Amino acid sequence: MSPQADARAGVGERSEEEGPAGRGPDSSAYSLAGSRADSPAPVRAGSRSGLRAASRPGRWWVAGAVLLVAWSLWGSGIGREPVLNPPGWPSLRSFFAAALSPDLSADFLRRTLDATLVTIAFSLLGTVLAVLTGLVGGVLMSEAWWQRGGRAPGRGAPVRGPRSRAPGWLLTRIALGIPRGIHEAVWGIILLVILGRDPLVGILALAIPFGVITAKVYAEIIDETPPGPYDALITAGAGRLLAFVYATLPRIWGDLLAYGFYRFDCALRSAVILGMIGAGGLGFELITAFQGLAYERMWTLIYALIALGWLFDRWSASLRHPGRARWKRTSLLLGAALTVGSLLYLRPDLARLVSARTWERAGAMLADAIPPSLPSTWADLLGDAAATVQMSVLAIVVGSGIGVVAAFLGVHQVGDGPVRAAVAALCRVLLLTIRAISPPVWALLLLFVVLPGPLPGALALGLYNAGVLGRLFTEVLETMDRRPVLSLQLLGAGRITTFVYGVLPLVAGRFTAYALYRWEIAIRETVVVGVVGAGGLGRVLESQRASFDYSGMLTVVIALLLLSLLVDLASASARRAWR
Amino acid sequence: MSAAEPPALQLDGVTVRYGTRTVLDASFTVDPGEKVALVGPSGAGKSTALGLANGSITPSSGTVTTLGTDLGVASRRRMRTVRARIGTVHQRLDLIGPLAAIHNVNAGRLGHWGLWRSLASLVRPLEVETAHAAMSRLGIEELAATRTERLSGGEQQRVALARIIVQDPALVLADEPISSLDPQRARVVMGLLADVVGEGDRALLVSLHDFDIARGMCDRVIGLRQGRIAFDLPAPEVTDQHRDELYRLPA
Repeated sequence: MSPQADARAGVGERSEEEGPAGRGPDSSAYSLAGSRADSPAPVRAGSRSGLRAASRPGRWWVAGAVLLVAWSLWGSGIGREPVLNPPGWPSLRSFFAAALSPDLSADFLRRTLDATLVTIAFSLLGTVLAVLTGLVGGVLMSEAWWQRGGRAPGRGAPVRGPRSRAPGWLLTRIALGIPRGIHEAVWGIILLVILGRDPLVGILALAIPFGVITAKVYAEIIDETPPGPYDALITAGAGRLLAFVYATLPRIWGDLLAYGFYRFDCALRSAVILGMIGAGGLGFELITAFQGLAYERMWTLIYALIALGWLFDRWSASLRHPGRARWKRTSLLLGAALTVGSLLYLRPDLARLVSARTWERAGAMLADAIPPSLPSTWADLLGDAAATVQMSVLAIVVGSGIGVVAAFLGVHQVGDGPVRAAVAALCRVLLLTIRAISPPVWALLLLFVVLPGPLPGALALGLYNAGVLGRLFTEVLETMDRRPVLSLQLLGAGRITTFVYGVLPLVAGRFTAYALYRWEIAIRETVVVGVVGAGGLGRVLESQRASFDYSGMLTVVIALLLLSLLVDLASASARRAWR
Repeated sequence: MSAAEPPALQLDGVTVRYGTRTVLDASFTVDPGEKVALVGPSGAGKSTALGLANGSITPSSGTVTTLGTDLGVASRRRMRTVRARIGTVHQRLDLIGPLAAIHNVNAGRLGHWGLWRSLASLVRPLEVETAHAAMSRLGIEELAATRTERLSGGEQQRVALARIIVQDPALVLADEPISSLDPQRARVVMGLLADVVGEGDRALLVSLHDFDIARGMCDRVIGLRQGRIAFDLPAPEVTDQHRDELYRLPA
């Protein structure tokens, strides 16, 4: 599989979003494509200053990043005001102490199993709906579908211009940015108001943003497929749909399926978060156990989450291998059976979708929400927005820092001694564990010992992202070309020198790209730590929901959208500058 | 060349086995300043011989002595000192793509510089004059600040050779440096390599497919076939018959 397809299939934990497909770190960024023609003008040899400038092409970006991090640190209040809450330490200690004694009573195990099934059912139904949306939407959004639509057959190969030049491209991106800019949790909060308490809320909260993302990725897959066979059928007089089903679909089937599985993996994590805001399942049980200070029970649930994550990780990894057609078919059948089972298990009340009451509530909510109103003052809104950005920045700094260390310790190579192998295994288990504890749970735990504000949120997101980034970094290290490093060793360079001259430059680009990519996701995830009280716009949103202030909510949602758009733009241009 | 100077490289009863397969079973010596070509079909053990010379491959039996040091018993530190005096041109160059060309050239000094000087050089290149002199000899001084991965294949080849110049090694190992080049470019690269190696008293061990180049450039030609030495002759004595014999497919 090409690196790109691999990234798209994303499997495991590439990212909660599209996976770095297409525009992500794995695509052409690190190829040798940059021919002399587009390389910067050679700097005159003798000039030392020229040398220094050119060896750091992204000087302004580095300066900007340093400033951003400094500003975020300042915002966290470290060194300016008390941030720790020492009386909470014993509680945190007893939480971690309980890790070794999870509640394994038959009664609670049954409850955990039930909650696990609920979480799986939500994720599965949400994913299936998202994939169906993605299929229809992906075809409709693909250039291949439209560009040849009005073309007389047989007039040569259609020309596909770069997408960026197509009219309305920016508008399309913004329109698509709205559903995916709003975190699943916010969709959950909104849908809860409209639909009332029903499994539908959880399913739709997953299906709406995931559906749009899936459609976008599917459209990319369709457009990347060589059009020959499709064109041939069109030329032979077949309709577009028929030509698509016969000529294109069979060739991209594997990619579509792999991405669907990856989406499911993301859905599992999101379902836990949705559970916390009332959808039920493992998230709900976690919150209940936390409120009852039943740490042993929390650990039972966390172990269930780890097992679940590991299981589906294995499953999707097994589907990544080429071949194994039979296993893929079996997986699909299994998925279909599970979907039906999930429907029967959750019994969502589909009638609610069209009932008069729903429309009434939706109408009332809209009437209340428009025009949007300021939650308090502009200054407050800007302050909360700033805190949100600071939170996301610190989260990525913390996450990358821990992630890099964990990756270098956790990388496993042929010929490692037993000690090294044990350290690597331990690191991987740790990464898996901190990934399994979702950000809101981390936030709740940190709120024992850190006073509310951006800091606990940043740390919670940071820890979670350390789990994700650590794993991504490990993959980079394991797949890197080690020959240049060996060539340095053969020059007699020492260990540290080899590392700094060889390993670091070779992986820094992809590390940065992944960190920036996670930043885009972190800014959206600030909501879920805010909801439990960690600060930022998420916290505002939660208090507005509690007081039915829909017009205020609309303002905050718009602010969140703008922020995530801003971060997307900053991250994308930083990635471009790095190339 | 003083009589006391040890051979640049000595393989003494060396075998390399993977499982039951013997990929190399050979003994030969390269004197200081001597240019030796290794020729032979793919899989004859040429790369293995070169790997033994710089210690990246450990022999199953026998001893490898490079620049007077028995690599089999050399301490880690000793190994580094020896390696600092061996210049290797890899088949695929193996430069650090994201670093500027000058850092890749200066990497030749890493075995001589201590840790701190090496790190400092990444921030502000050290010994720039030496590096520039080397690069301008190869006609790439303009590219010092360009990221290496943006250079063309030919330019990267020159960066690798400039690295050898600044490293100033006593022994140069080159593993099929021209196998992926067309005849025209192969001549140019071999000319540059000869130029780089020619100065001082550097020994050269180069693996090649092209007999004419081997005969024209080297003092001695060693023919390898299925891991064993088929012939080891002064260059003028090597004939086309030797070549045909060496490349004959096994019946």
